[in-house]
Order: sequence, then C-alpha cells, then structure tokens
Amino acid sequence: MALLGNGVRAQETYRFSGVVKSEKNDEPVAFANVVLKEVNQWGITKNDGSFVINQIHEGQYILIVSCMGYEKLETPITIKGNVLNYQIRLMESMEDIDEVVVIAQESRQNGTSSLIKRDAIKHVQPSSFADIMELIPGGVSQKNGLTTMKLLHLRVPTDVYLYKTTVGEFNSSLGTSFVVDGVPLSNDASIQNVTGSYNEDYLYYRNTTGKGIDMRLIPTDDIESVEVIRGIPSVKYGDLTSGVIDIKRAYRVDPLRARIKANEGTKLFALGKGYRLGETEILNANIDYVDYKSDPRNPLVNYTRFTGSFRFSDVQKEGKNKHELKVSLDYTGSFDESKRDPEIDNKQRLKNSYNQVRLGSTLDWEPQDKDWLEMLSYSISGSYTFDRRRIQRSVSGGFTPIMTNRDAGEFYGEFLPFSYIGNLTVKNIPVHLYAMLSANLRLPFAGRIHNVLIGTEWEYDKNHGKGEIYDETRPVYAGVGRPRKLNDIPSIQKFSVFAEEQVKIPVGRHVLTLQVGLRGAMAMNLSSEYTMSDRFYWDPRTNLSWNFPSFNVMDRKFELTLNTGYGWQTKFPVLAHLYPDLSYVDRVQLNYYSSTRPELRRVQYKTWIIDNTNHNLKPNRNEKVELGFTLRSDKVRMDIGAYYERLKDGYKMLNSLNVLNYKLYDIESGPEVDELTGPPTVDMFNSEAKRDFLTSAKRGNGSKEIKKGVEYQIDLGEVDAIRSRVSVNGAWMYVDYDLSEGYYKGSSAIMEDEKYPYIGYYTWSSKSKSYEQFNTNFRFDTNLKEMGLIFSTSLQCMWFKSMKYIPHNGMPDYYIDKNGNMFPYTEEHTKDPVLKFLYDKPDPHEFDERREPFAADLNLTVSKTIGDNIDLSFYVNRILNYYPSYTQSNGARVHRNVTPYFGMELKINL
Amino acid sequence: MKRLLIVLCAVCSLALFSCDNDGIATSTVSFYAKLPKSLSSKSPDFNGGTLTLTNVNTGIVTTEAMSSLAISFPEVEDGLYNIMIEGSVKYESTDVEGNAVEKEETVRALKENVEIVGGQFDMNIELFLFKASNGFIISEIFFAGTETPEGKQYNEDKYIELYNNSSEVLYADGLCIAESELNTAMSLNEYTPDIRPNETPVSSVYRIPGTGQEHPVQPGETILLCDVAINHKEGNANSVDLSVADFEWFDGADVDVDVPETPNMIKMVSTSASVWSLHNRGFSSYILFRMDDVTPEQFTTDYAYHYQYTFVWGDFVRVMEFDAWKVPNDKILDAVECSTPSDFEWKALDPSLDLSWTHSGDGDAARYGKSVKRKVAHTEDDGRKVLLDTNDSAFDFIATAEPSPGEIE
Repeated sequence: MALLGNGVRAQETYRFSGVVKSEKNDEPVAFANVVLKEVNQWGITKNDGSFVINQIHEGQYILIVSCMGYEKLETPITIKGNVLNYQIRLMESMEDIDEVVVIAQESRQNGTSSLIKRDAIKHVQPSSFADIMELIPGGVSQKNGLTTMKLLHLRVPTDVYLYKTTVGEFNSSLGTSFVVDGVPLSNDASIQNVTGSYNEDYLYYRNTTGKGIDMRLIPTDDIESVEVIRGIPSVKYGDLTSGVIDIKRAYRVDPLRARIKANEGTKLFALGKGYRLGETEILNANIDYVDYKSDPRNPLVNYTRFTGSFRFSDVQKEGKNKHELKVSLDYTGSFDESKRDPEIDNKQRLKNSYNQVRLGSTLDWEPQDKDWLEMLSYSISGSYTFDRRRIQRSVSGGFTPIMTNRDAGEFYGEFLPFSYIGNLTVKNIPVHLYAMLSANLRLPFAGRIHNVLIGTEWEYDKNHGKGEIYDETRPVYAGVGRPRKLNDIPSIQKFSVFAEEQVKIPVGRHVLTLQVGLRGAMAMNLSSEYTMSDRFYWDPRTNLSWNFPSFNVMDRKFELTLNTGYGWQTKFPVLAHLYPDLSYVDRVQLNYYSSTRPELRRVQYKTWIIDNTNHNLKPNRNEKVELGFTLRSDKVRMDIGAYYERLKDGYKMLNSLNVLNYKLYDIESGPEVDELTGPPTVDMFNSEAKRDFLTSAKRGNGSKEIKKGVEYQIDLGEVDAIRSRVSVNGAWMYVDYDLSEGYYKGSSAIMEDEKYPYIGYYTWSSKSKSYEQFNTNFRFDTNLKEMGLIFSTSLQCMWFKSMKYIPHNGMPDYYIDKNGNMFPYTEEHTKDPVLKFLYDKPDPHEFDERREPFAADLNLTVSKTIGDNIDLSFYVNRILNYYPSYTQSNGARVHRNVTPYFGMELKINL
Repeated sequence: MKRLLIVLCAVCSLALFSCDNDGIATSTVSFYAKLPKSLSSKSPDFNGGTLTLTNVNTGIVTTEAMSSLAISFPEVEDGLYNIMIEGSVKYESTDVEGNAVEKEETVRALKENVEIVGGQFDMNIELFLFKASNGFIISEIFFAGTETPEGKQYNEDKYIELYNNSSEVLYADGLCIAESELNTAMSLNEYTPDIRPNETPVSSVYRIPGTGQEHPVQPGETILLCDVAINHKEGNANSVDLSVADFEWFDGADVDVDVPETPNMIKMVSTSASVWSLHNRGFSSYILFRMDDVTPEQFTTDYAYHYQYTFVWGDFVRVMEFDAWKVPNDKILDAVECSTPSDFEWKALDPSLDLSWTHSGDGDAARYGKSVKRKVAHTEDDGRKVLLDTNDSAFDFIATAEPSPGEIE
C-alpha cells in the first residue's frame, strides 16, 4: 500500500457501491465486472445489478464496467468520500452474442485499424488472404488470380501497381508487417533474382525479393480474426513503415469442418478441427489445398498451394497460475508452374516450388501477486524456407561469347554453341529466427500508477541457399556467367527495445486515452563501412483519444471520441538491398568469326567488375499523422479519419556512373584467313580506342512517397425496416511518387558514328506520378436466421480515379563528359545542337490530369445453412455493372469492359 | 418456263428495288488529272489511261478508261477511296543531234484514303512520270530471319540482294542501301515536316566501298549484302547459306561478329548504336541509291533530318521529336516498300518511288524463313533474266517467297 503514490492519507478509505442497469430496458445487469482500473480493485454485480467495492483511497480513477453482451464502459470517477447507489447504464453490445458480423469493424484501440472476424472472412469465400482485403475502407472487390504474386499495398490506389512499369517501388508492401500469432513473417532474406532475366515476365511477377509478403501463401481457414492497422501501431510492432496485419488464428475446440470451393480456375479444399486434449489444453489442426489455373482452357500455367498447421494451446484464465501458452507448427507449400505448348517448344519449363516450415511459441504469464508485474510475455519463432526455382529453355547462343572469368582484365574466349538447352536452378533458403520478451508493468511514480509495456526483440535473417546454379558455359541467359552463392552473404540481425505507456486521464467528465511509446531498432552484423552499422533508429509513436461525455440529441444518446496520432516507423533494408551481386561488365574488342575455318573463331574481351553496394543505404522511415473521430449511438457507429504519410527516403533502384575505356580491333587490318595457323591474337590488328559511359543499377534511398487521404466507415447496424445491417465505407486516397535522389541518363543519339559524348544527371523522373481515387461501398447484409440465409449486396462505386505526371523542366541538373568533367546544364543548352539531346522537352499537356470517371459494380453473396451441418454459399461479383464510356482530354473515346465472375463453396461440419 | 421467267424477273426486280433502297448516299465525282510540271515545256499530250477507284471499306474496285484528263463517275457510294491512275503521255523532245523526237512515257498518280461525301465531289490529281529502271535494282529482301528448329527467333541471317538488271557491266562501288525511318504500320499523327514527295527519311545507311571500278557486276549477276556472312545452316537447319555474300554490314566488334572472309560495307549513319537488324515483321522499307560525291561525314551533317509527330496512346499524348537522315528521291535507283496486310497504315515512300508494297507473311510465324523476291519478267536469248520492275512492288514482287540468296530463280 505504501507504494501507492496518493497514499498520503493511507488510513482513510471509502466505500463505493451502486447498480448496473441496461440502457435499453432498465433491467438490472448481473455478473458485470466493475473495476477501478488504477488500483485493480473490483466487484461483481449480483442478480439485482448491485455491487460494492470497499477500502478505496481518495483519488481520481477510471471505472471500467464490462459484461458479456454489453459495450464496455470506461468513465472517470472521483472518490473523495463514500459513493453509494452509483447508477451505471450499459449500452447493449452492437453484436448480439450469436450475431454474425460479416463486415470489417473499425477500431481505434490500436491506432486506425479494421477488425475482420472469422464470420466475415468466411462470408467472403476467400482463396487466399488477398481476397479479404476488400473489406477494409478503400478496398474494392477484385478478381484475384493466384498465378502471380499478391502483395499488399495499404492506402494505395488500385491503378498504381496495375502495370509492370510502376513507379511504386514496393515500399508499401515491403513495409507492411504480417504478424501471425504474435510472430512477424519475414521475407527479408529471400533472394529469388535471376541474373539476366530482365524481360522475363514469368519471373518478374513471381519474384518477391525486397517486396514483402506474398499473400497467396497465407491460408484463411484457420484465422480467428485479423486486425489491419493502417494508422500508428503500438511500438511492440517493428520493422515496418506502412502498417500491420495482425492475424490471430483459432485456438479453440471446433468440430471437424470441411470447405470445398470452386470458381473459374480455382479448386479449394480445406479441413480443420480443434480437439480438447485436457482441461486447459486444446489442439487445432488445419490443412488446405488450392489448385488454380489462370485460364481453365490453358492448363500450362498453374498454381498449387498446400498448407498444414498444428496449434497447441494451454490457457489457464483463473486461479493462481494464469497463463496462455501457444505453440504452433506450420507447413506452407506453394508451387508455380508454366510450360510452353509442347507443339511450339517442349523444352521450355519454369517451375517454382516453395516449402516453408515454421515453428513458433508465445506465452503470456501473469504472476499471482500483481504488485508491479502484471504480465510477462515471450514469443519465439523460427522458419526454414526451401524455395527452388527451375528454368529450362532452349537457347540460341551462336554469336555470344562465353564469359566466366571472375577477374577484371582482358581475356580470349570462345563462342557459345548455336543452340542448346539451358538449365538453371535458384536455391533460395531463407532462415528466420525471432525472439521477443516483454513485460506489462505497473509503476507508481509522479503521483500516479503507470501502466507500462517494455520489451526487447531480436530478429535474424540469413540465406543458406546456393543461389543460381547452372553450367556457366551454357547459361540460360546468354552473356551471363558469374553466379554468386547466397550463403556467402552475411546474416542481418535486428535488435530492438521498446517502451510504451497507456494512460487514461480523466478530465472532468472527459477521458483522454494516451498511448505514448518509443521504439529503438538497430541492424547488427553489418560491417562498419555501412552508415547504418550499430546505430539506433528511434521511432516515437503516440495515439491520443479524447472521449467526450455522452450527449443526447433528439432522445438519442451519442458518444463522440476524437482520435489523433503521430508517429515514425522504420523498415530496415533486406539482404538483397544491402548485398547486391557484383556487376560484371564485358566488352568484346575482337570478334573474329571465320566462315571457312571455324577453328579460328575467337573473341577477345575486357571485363570490369562494378561493386554497387551502397554503404550509405539508410532504413526506410515513414512519418504518419492521423486525425479523426468516432461517433456512436446505440448500434450506429461512424468512423472518419484523415491521414498524412511521408516516406522521404524510400528504397529505389538508381544507378552509378562509370566510364569504360576499351579498344575495337579492325580485323580487315590483319592477316588473311589462310595465313593464320591458329586463332588470331590482338597484336595482329590495328585498333581504335573507345570510351563509353556505363550506368549500373544501384539501390538508393531515392523514392519520396506521400500518401494522404480520408477513410470512412458508417455502420448503421441492423435497420429494422429492411431487416438488414447497412454499412457504408470507402476512402479518398492520394499518393505521390517522386524522386529524392538523382540518377544518370544518357542519350541514344549517335554523333558522327560515335556514341553520345555526354551524360546528364537528373533529379526528376518522367515516371514520377501522383494518383488519386475516391470510392464508396454500400453494403446490405440481411441475416434471415429462420431460413438460415445470409444475403449480402454490395454496391461498389468508384467515383473517379485519376493520374498525373509530376511536373519537371525536362533538363538535367548538370552533365558530364567522358573525362569526368561536370558542367551545369542551363536553359540555352536545350537549343544547342549537341546538348539538346539531354533535354527531354515536356509536352504542353504532359502534366494534365488523366481522369477516369464514375464506375460501379453490384456484387451478391449468399450463404445458406442447410440443416445443422451444411453451409452452401455462392457469390456473383459484377452481376450488374456500370462502366460508361468516356472521352479523354485528347478526344479519344474509351470504352470500358468488365465481366462478372462468380464462385461457390460448400462447408460441412462432419 | 414462262412462269419461271416471271418469278425470276420478280426476284430480280425485288433485288434491284432493295438495292436502290438501302439508303447509302452517293455522290457525283469528277477527277481532273494534271500532267507532270516537268513536261510543261515539251507540249505534253495525254494518250489515254485507266483510273481505278477502290472503296477502302468494301474493297469494291471500279476501273474506268480515261480518254482525256477529266473523268466523271455519276454515282459513287460515299466512303473512303484509294484512287490510282495509270496512263501514258506523249511529248516532244530533242535528241543529242538536236532533232525533234516524239517520246512516250508512262504516268501515274495515287491518292489514298480520300473521303468522298456530299453529293458533288471534284478533285485535282497530279500525275508523275514513271520510268522503269535499267540498272541496279533490289532483287530480294530477307527481313524476317528464321526460326530455329527449337522455335527460337534467329536474326543473324537477314540479307538484301541487289541485281544488275541491265545488259551492261555495272560497278557496285558506292552503292548505298538504307532502311526507311518511317514505319508502314504506324502512321504518324501531325507528322511534320513531311518531306516524302521529294526526300526519303532513312535511319541506317551503309555504302559499298570502292573507288569506282573495284566491284564490277556482270549483267544478270547479283550482289549479296548481309549481317553475318557464314553458312547459317551450320547451327540452324532452317536457315540459309550466306557464305557466298559479297559484303557485310558491320557495327563494331563490341556488338557484332565480323567474318574475315567477307569485306564490310562503310557504315554511313545509323540511329542505333547496336546491330542493324532489318525490321523483323517487315514494317520498314528499303532504298538503293548513289551519292558518290557525298562523304559519310558530309552525309551525317548535310542530310540530317529532324521531325516530330504527336504520339497518342490511350490518355498519353505527347509531341515526339526525332532525328534521322534523308535521301533525295532523285538519287534513288530503286525502292521497295514492305508492310503486312493486317498492319499497313500508310506509305513510308512516295508513290513515285513505289506505288504499292509487298510483304512476307502477315506479321505471324508464316514470315519466318520467307523473303520478298522480284519476279522474272522475261529471259533474254543469252539466258540473262530480266526482272520485273514497274515500281509497283505488289505487282513486281513475290510475297512470302522462298529465299534464294545470290540466285535468281
């Protein structure tokens, strides 16, 4: 007791008693918990709703009243003497206990977030996690294929990642942390790149290196709830910039359930059960199998997923040894395959097989005597991924030299055969280890009790794969031949500490809820050459809610809460960013290809080795501001929030500049073919000295990304007149992708039979764009319990989408000649006969807005329960659609065509 | 029988009736051909010809004889038309001794995509003089390359074959071959300056070396130009033997293999820093010309050509500016326009150079291993083949032909 800060008059204690009643019908509420939060003193209501708490010291407290079926009430109370017959009215919960909620519910408990529960997930009839993201404000239903990677871009308009030539550098998807049962998934050590495959769409659309988590890998049948945190997350979540997807899986007794889904191209089969092993122990098991063909008529491109999960839990909620232990073992298999039509080319085959085993455990333990330690938690996890990509194709190599030397210098070489079968395997074996320890403390200081969370986290990512494996003299991509072993790359380890306090401050009848936290993170195991090495990056994050006293308007009780937040988030670079492959640049100087004497054929070439490691690479840091409000009345809830995010130094592929000096030998100056006794040597020929620029891709912090917008959701609850739950959600969002660092760009112009003599340094990009979109989804969910029918209608309106190029003056900042001299580039150079080639004159209409007008889809989803054990559901999306043609500013007429798509599934409790 | 006739008549009249009544507007059209200005001092006289009117939409072709320079069509369905005139003109000239002689030459005219509407339509059409060549001509172009037995595109076996179509020994020294800068499958919006009537925009120009009499070509002999002069069957069974080639175009050891047995052409200019590879589907056209007094350096600077057009793709609109070179049309010895039936949009060459275009395949896999090849007009008594050259490549060339580098079949 002496620990209590306000225990000056420790002897004087008071009595607090009262009655809890239902707001709706004034009936007393039994078994409600009444707690004075700061001192953890509590009482339980009897059948008549009455409660008593004795021995309370004078002070200001937060009173928390909670009961199943009612909304939790939190209200400030001042105790100066005995408080008797205190009247408490609880609002009935928005959800009936047995009510089925099929929408995402907004929450402001943990920053701006949406909570999606099991029933809502079930009702979407998902094939993978990507499908359920349509439920969050700003989401739209999309036909998500499974033959290409599915990344999550939070708060990003749908058009940004529509094409391969995107300006978005995947910083949003990389910076979204997927947390499953308290443990983040990691893709940071994965390297799936294939050198030389720049134009290979198959590989590009399945390569998630440095891009974040592929949502295809996440099955949905074992999920209990998902929280999508788009705002400022608690500091216990780290290594992220955009948001958190917190997935909680089912640890509970469940009958054996099967789900069978079929739609165009997809076949899904899932099975799950939760067994009770003992009084507190439960074992859950799930398996899931998906087979997908992007075009059912073309069986040559397909995707298969197989997942299995065992989850053990031991939950003791009462008594002296309160704890919650969870252990899980998961397997994920993901298989992409593409074959060419055997009649055209039976040699081409592309196959990815991804196998991951993950073991994890979390424990929350509460001591019996909660003096200062309320809870101690740990999470540990390890995953081992065996990802193998195989490429087989026929190659015509005829005139390309074989280049396998690992040193710089000049070499003689031979030509590749005219045609051969190239085989390449990428062995990518990322290993991820994770450990977290945290404690919830109750610390009395500065006159108050403080609820503080402190913790520390360690994360390890390393690749144990051999990388690209192939016969270097028969490469799949001619001209390539120096693979690197991925297991030579050091591990990256991240160490973090965090502390956060959550306080409720009563101010009269108002309550301020403040969450203030700080997280420090550091990348370890980096050589001291890296600027980042052994340096802490600090993320302050705070969320503030201001709960106004409830007020009545037209006989309705309203509750208003203002929510605001400000915070920083940091995402460290992944292995592929920190340790790029050495770039081997080869120039052929002598190219002797005799037609009559093949034995004389020979090349002589020069090799440069360019190391594009960027030791100055910094973590991505995103600054976020949130401001919004929640208005509630009875079952109606309205959430409107604005946000502003600024990622100043996002990762972007820029380049480095090199000048190459080489020679070109003129074979007409040498001996006749008949005079040679063996392959020629360079001393037999005259040569001409050449000097060229070479730009080489280098990762930098060059992407400046701004996101701003307004997200809203209005949940009207059950509207009796139409017996439907009516909800409206959507978002106006704007993103802006610009450059924050420059890059080099030359001209392809030829000047007097020579390559262009200058190269420009540009601090703008013709790809820099801003996008905007505004949408609203109107949803009607009708639950006809007596018929076992849930009927959902969603009208999805896209009011507009628009895109604009970011204005620039078309000029480089400066230009460089082949001797490395720098000259400023000025307006008059744009008219110079030579320098004008570095000027990319903007079109008068180049920066005009391109706007796509209104379009709408109507989607239907129906679930029907047959008997006790069978659920049959189907959906038809775009059953009605309105995509009017429109005229662009240049007069072109655009006709938009969309087609409906549908699917159905069967769920059986066995 | 009588009843049958009556029925037939009824059907016919019904058909006529329905034709008359289908509501397509017609116009009365008059064309006024103008004789070439170059002949204005030589008392030219039109000696008759034919006018061919092709409805672009329906493909219906109407041919009408012209006895004078003016011709009218009373009822022409409104629509887009191509108009072609071929005729002859007599004019007075003087020979080297100063005697007056009457000469006769072919004249032609071509107007494409003319919109005929509005009830009454009059149009002036300039005729141009058409001379059949009697010297070096382009006899074959193999632009598509081949497909390897493994199904891979193979581009190194492309070639262009030239032919001495005269009865005299000619010298190949200084002959230049060029690829058109304009693409027949992409008509340019607001293209300016449009120099095609007088000069041809080109992107790559290579010249056969020599001082004037180093490379004699006998009547009926070929000159074979290619990228890589080897027997390509060595590594690709579907290819051709180019080891017999006379010259290679070579773009530098860093990007191109060099065959020591075959001399290289002089690279005059190129808009590309890499290897010259003829347009794979055949959307570019080729010209053969001679500008012996112009050095490569002079050509680079004095014949530079800057142009622009407005690029429109979806909502992307932008003025594009390009630099290339130009060749005066009066220096051109022969020109062959290439395109495909599905992709042809406009002519890269002036109709006076080539009235039409030829093709290999239709942009599809049928083009691989096929060339465009000039037809043999007749064989002289001494066995020399004279190739057809009426500057009308749709007529003069065998489309999608079997390649035969260095051989005339």
